[in-house]
Amino acid sequence: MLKGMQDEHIYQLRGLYDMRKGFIGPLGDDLPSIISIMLALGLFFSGVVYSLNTYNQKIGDMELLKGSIEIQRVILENGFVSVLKPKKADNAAYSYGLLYDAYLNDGANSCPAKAHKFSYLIADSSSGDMEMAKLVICTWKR
Amino acid sequence: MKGQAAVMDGLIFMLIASGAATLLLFTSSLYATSTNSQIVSIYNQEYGGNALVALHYAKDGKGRWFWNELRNRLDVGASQTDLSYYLSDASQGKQVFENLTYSSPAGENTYLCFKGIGSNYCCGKNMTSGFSCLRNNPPDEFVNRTVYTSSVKITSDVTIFLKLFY
Repeated sequence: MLKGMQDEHIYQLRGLYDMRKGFIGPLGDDLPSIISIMLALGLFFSGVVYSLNTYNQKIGDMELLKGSIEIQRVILENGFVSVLKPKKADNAAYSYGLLYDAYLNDGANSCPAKAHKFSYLIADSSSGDMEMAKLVICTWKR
Repeated sequence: MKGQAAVMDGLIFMLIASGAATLLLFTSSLYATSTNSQIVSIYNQEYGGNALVALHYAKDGKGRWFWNELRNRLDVGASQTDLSYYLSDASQGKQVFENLTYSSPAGENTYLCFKGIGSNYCCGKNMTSGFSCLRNNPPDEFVNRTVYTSSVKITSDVTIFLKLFY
């Protein structure tokens, strides 16, 4: 009896008492809460990254459309196309951080695959006679 | 008991973090929606304005000015079939109208509407009867759609509307 009490006391003194009750170490004991905390952090930062990607995607798409409208305004500043790619249109594209190409009618098939296409029905005077034509402005990020 | 409390703290933290993540996803999905719709609207208005200018220079299959032909018909109160025939006949205005739908961002859902003396028509393709001119309004299938309208007055009595339905 006395021997048993002495052993108990010795375990407590050595700090090993808990080990007998299922203690699996300082890290192991906190494992369930650590998992939930890590899950929560993972969920939150996934949401942040996804949201940032969505923001950037939306802003990028808007810039492409705004840029194409601006380029179209420059090309059609007289109300019709006389020069398909004037120098001023390059400046407009540059200010939106874009590259662009402009085509008439079926030439739009030459647009780079990554480009967004925006079409307009315009009057074309580049051949001398005024004719109706489809103007396609392809824009993509620089 | 101490371990259970720690797990509960972790779960509550997870709940808060998932709420914050949901809020972020929600705001990101709504972000720039109205700005984007305004830019799309500007694009459609630009398309409409340019298209009406281009139509000003358009000639029909017989080499006559498209605007003049429409004006001549609408000034005297053209009939529905007369307009429909003019815009769908290959030797007359069909090519002009096809150029319009070919370049339009709304594609086949592009309508030319006319307001003349005693005659209001909307001409375009619809799912049921193909190309036709209808009195007053476009077909019922376009009633609840978003529409962008550009117009030009070609005489004091005749106005032409270009309508893009989405």
